[in-house]
Amino acid sequence: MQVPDRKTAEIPERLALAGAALAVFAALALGWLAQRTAIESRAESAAAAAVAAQIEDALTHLQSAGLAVRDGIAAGAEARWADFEDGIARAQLALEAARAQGRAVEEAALAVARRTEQWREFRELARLGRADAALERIADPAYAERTTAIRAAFDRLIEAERRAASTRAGAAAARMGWLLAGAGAAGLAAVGALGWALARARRGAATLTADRERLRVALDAMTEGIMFLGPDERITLVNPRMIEAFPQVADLLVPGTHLDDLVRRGLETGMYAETDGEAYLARHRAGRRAPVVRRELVLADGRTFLVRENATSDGGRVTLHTDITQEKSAERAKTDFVSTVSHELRTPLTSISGALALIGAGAAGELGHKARQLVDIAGRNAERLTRLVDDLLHVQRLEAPIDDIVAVPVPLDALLERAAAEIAPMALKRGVRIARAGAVPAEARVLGDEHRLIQVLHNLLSNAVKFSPAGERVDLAARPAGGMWRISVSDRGPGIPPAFRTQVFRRFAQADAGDTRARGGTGLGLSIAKAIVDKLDGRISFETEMGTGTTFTVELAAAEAEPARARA
Amino acid sequence: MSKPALARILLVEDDPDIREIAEMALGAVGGFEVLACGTGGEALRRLAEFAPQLAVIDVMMPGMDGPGLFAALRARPDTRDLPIVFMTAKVQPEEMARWRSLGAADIVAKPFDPMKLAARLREIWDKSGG
Repeated sequence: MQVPDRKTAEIPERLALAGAALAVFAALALGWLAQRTAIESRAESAAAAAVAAQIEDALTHLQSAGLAVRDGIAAGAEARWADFEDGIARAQLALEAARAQGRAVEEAALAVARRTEQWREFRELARLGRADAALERIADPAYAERTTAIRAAFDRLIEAERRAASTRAGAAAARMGWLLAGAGAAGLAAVGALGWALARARRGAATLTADRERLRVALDAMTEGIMFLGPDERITLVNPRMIEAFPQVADLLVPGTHLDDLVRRGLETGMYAETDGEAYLARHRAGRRAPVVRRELVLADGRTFLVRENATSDGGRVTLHTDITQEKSAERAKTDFVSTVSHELRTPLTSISGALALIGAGAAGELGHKARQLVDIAGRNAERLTRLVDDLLHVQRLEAPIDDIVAVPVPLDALLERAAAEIAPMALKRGVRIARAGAVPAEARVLGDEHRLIQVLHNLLSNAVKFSPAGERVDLAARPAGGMWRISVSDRGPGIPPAFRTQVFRRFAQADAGDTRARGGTGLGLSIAKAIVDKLDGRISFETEMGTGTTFTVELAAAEAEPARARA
Repeated sequence: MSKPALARILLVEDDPDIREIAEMALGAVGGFEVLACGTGGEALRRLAEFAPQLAVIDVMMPGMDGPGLFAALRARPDTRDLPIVFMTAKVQPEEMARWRSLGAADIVAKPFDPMKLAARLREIWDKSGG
């Protein structure tokens, strides 16, 4: 099952949260603008109202001044002339204040100035004792008209200010409305985004929970015991089957237990068939360093588990424990059978080939030429039969569903040297030379099982020797290729016919029926080599050209010089 | 005192044909004095007067098998240190390991080359502690 990558799954939520944050910011900004607008508009509107009030004031003062003029003329009350001057001065001040606020008060100011001039003329007339003339001028309809005009000018000003105040307030209200609407929308967007993100996160969490649930159900249902280990060799997860399978250590099959403690408890409780605790623990630790581990765990109660370990992406491991007790017992029955058959075949073969060897060596008296020829034929075929029995045993072992191949770093140079040395006598007999081509650093290692790798190289080399014309040489070389070592065996033989190329690794496959007799092979060598290389997670391939020769190449994973930490 | 040359070999093999071939390989070809027995019991009865320096024993025998005879020889004071070589057609790796773990000086796999058997036993004799 694939559990969605948390980081990928979270991207939309993150975007939504970012959107929500932006929206919140926008709402705050718009709100702040609205508030500022409100304050400014209120200030502007208040200012307009103040100007209107000032102008009203000015008018009032002007009217008081007018009354003071009438009183001064009519009653000759000198004190009222002071009130008149005061009224005028206040009116002018009020207008000046309005002008300072940028208002167009020229018309009103001019009207006030003219009226003040007029009034001063009246005061002069009155002081000269011509009060009646002054009163006459006041009674003149033109004077009343002028008064109405002045009033109108003032009223227009006041009206304009009042309108401005209310318009500004209205515009501000409208702007504020928009801003508030914007802020509200942004706020809503923020809430929406947050809500969506929350819902999605909840849905994501629900998906994750569902995935976890499915994983749990799967783990619970598995017939294999599963144990996850962290990079620190401590348990992170076990499934119920694991606890069922190993009741002796059940209390330690919990997250946090160190693998060493688990193994020690197993040794203390006598769970393992093996009784040498220290040796077992040491081997167990050593085995953990291999990147791919397949081993058999034999318990004292007779059960056998196949343990497979794989590295996990977090630097830890997952180990699968499969109960193979029944398979092992079936395998044992088969192995016993094959072993018995092998024994039964070998016993007469011992007599046949032994007798032939003795006769051939003249131990039973001198042989005639023809007799020697016939004894040689019998001897060669007895040998071939023996090899066939050997190979059948190998095949049977490799066919076993489970085979405890543990891949460990094997020194490559020594491996090639040994393989070449082992085949040398056979090569010599056929007049073929084995040549090591190119140097392999002494620290180079491949992952494998030394005994099996020797078998692979032996089969490839003996094949190459068999197909080489006398006097030719077989090249054995190795070169690194991207984390792998490519070991190649090249002959200068006839090449593999095209029609046979797909059959090369099949059992008992030989290019032509005569080959078996001519070359003395069993037809199992390459299939055995392939089976071994496959078990080591390697690759085997060949290149061939008719009349030129054939190169078989085995690719095996390179390992560090020291088997320290094969897992990165 | 240097080790005496290997001269007397006890051979225990139930299969008469193989016994015949092995006897020839050791006697006529190898030049040893050979006491060839068909069963473990016969060997135990006859070895006192023969005083072998090395024993070659078949593993699979009816009655007393190779490991049984091995134990019996180890139990006797006169053969307690006798180097014993198993000869067997049971040659799978775990089988070989089993014979070795019993304390055999070496193992000869069947089929063996009768022309090389004597030389092989001399090698084993030279390496053995006796």
